[in-house]
Amino acid sequence: MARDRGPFKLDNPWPRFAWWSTAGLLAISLILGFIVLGREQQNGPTLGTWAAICRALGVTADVGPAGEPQPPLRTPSRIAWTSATLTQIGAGNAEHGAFVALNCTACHGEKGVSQAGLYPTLAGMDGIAIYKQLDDFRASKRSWGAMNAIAQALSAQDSADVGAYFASRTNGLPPFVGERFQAGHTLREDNPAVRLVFAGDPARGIPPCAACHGPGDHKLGAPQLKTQQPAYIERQLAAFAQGFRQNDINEQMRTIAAQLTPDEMRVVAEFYGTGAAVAQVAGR
Amino acid sequence: MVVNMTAWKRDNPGRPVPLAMFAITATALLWAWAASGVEIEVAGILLPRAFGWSDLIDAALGRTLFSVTLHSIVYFWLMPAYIAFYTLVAEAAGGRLYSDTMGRLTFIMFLVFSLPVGMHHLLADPEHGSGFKFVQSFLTFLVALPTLLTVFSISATLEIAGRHRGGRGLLGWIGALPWNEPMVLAVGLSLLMLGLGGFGGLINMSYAMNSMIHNSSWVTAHFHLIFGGAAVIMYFAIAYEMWPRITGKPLRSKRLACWQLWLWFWGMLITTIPWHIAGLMGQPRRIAIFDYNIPLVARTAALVITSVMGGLVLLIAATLLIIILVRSHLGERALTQPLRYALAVNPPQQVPAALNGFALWNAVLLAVMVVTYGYPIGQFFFLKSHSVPAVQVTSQESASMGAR
Repeated sequence: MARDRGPFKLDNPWPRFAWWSTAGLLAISLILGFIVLGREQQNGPTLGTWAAICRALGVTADVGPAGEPQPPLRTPSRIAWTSATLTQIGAGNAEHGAFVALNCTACHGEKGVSQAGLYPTLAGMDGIAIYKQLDDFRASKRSWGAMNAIAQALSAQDSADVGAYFASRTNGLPPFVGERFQAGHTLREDNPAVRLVFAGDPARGIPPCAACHGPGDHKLGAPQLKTQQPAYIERQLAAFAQGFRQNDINEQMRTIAAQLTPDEMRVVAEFYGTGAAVAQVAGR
Repeated sequence: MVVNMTAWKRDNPGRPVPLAMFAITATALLWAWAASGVEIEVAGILLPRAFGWSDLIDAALGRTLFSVTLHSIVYFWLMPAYIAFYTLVAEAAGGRLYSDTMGRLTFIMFLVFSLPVGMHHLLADPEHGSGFKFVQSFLTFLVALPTLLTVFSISATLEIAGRHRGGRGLLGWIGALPWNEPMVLAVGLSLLMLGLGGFGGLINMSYAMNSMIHNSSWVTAHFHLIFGGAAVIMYFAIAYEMWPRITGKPLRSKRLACWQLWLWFWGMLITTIPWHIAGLMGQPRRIAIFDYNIPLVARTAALVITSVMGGLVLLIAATLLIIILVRSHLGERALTQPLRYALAVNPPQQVPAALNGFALWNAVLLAVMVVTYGYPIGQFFFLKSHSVPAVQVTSQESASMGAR
């Protein structure tokens, strides 16, 4: 049984065949992939061998856009949801935040519950959302009269603190946790507000509001809307639709709001603001 | 499987491992190799996030590791069908296997060539350069080798059986085959679907052609045809072969079983051919809503509806499968012949060590994996990081509200 011994010995025919054919196939594919294919460019000069290999490895600097005129870059926000940002927000000190929040009472109401349609209620709002809006005001990514000046007077730590303070208040917006997504609302729903909030309108590319703003689900940075001032919600939808407000990171709110009719903005705002959303959850 | 095969070789020194055992061990090894990608991804990326040790995940590294598993999993599904081709078909057709060595080579090639190819699922991913995408695309082409080898040797096996049964002339043996045997019928239909789906697969894995059909419903149609068609129809035939042997109750009606296989075949074609066309017309995969108000979508309406009809035929065929098995199970117990694996025309007396075990091929595979995946995975550790914060999608702590 000499043939049974030494599957790795290269003087046996099968191991020799296996290793040489594998090496040959790899060599052919590496030469084709790294030297021949990497060399050719559609609209540029043929590259040298070394440049071709680097390009095939994906480590070249020439992968940027072609030299065509580009509109000036405008970033919607300075905030990115990195762990550093989230750690800073998480370290907010609610006690110091209560002191900072004295600045807010004139417009946003005592203890952060707004009494006027122009201003949003802050009590109970997600601290992450408050932090992002304050930074956007500070960097003039969002504009609203006094808010830009106020935000510039606050440090990043102050923003985190005041966010933590308002998030800890229980007298305002209900928190995100503890609710399930409302099943059973479909595109055939009669009430347009309920349909938009829970099912959206795929034909126009409108996702359900509840997928980010609750009830039942939540995306990072999106504020909860239940019991928010309806006039405020409607005004923000209009601002997004007309491009006055542009600080949504992925342009999602501008895209959605531009698809809504004024009537739809009003009924959605009322649905959230007047507590219909609360009744909807409680009634099921 | 590996332990069993080692024990068998120890007890039977110098004798060739039976093809069925060799093939099943190849499948087990393929599974072990394939799982490594997802295992590393889960242990190295997902669990640290789940335990809260890190709030970042490297999405690009995760996708690359998953690609190791992604494609070889598909071959893991296909292997039982191939095992049936090589070990059950010849017996059912009343002949002998054309070549034992071709069977061994097929399973070895499947083991070696189905792993270093996963990046053909990442051809549109920005985290990799073009080089290794091309290399893995090139290696994917080689999967055609064991496939074509199998088509050749199974056709030859069937020809041997057909001629043995009295078929004459160039094609006369085809008519002489026992097409009323579920296993023989299933092989014919399976090879047809494997051919159609295989040519579609060549387009999927081509670096350039892939961009035409990337993430379109062409891809979904392709893997339904290969897996749902070519592989699953063999699973049915295996069930008709094995079920009576497990329960001791013979199949009541082979005629009904053949009907079931034909229905499944036509259902799968009616489902997937329009689906392929819709993909070429630009229909994306993974869509839940078809809004026919949009002109682009409206053009695919007839195709989508035809495809759904095919799905209904498949549903009927699947129901029929259960009816056949239950009906047979309610029948009387009768002694059935024990299962016999196919004998080759020239049964192997002794085979080279390389074709009697997997040590050499595991080593070859390891070398190829290091060459093809070493840089694509290694680059994340010294060149680029694609870490992004992982967002917790669900935070439903209480079921008290809304559950009523």
